[in-house]
Amino acid sequence: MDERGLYFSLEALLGFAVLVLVLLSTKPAEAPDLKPLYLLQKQHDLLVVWVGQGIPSLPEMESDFRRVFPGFSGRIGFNDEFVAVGEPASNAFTESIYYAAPSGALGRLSITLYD
Amino acid sequence: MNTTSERGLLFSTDLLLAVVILLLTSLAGLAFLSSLALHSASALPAYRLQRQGLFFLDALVKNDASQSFPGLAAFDSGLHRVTPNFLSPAPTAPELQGFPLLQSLRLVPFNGPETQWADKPLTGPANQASTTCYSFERLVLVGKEKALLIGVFCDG
Repeated sequence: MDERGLYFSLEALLGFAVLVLVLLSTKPAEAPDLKPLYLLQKQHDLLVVWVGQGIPSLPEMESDFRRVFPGFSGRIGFNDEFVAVGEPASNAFTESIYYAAPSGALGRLSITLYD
Repeated sequence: MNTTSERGLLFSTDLLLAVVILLLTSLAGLAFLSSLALHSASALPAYRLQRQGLFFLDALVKNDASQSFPGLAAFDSGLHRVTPNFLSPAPTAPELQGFPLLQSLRLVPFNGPETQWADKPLTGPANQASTTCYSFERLVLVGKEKALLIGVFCDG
């Protein structure tokens, strides 16, 4: 009976050691980050302004992109045309907007942001 | 052959060991929960500051001046609606009372002089190096001119 008690204590000790290891290996959750939302808002701003003022030329779009997203690379899509700004990266956020052109045709603008 | 006293001693030792292990296990669990709570508490002020800054600027570019919340967007009488991101050619200063975290607010046209609507001194602790600030920008159209609305938000 005493031996069983000792075995139980040893098992409990082992269980405690495992619990400590599990707790130590658990990382607390990352703090919530609003950066993706902020970037999305700015992408949306660019698209809305471009459509609202009349679609600018691709070089002007590229200039606006560099001004709104300094230090970022990305890609601007205007229907089937694309302009690369900087080097692509693996982590990409894309936002697009559809609009009715004066001719009545449906147009599409998109901004891909590499982070 | 075990005597009663030997078994009792062994039982007491075993019980003591079990209690110590139980206490240590509880302590480890509590220490973990405590560190988790402290970590979350330290990250919360920065998150709250970012959230207020982001949502405040978002409201500015989406509301017009007729709302109870400050707004800069123009009202298009032809469309009968507020036009987000589109400001009137000469936007008036929004009402910024009641937003203590807002440090400065500027409208910087791509081509032209900037307009400053708020620029407060830091009122936090004397060691202002510890003050956390976040700057957010939104692209707007002022008349036909593109501009950046830049807000700086600080916790001090």
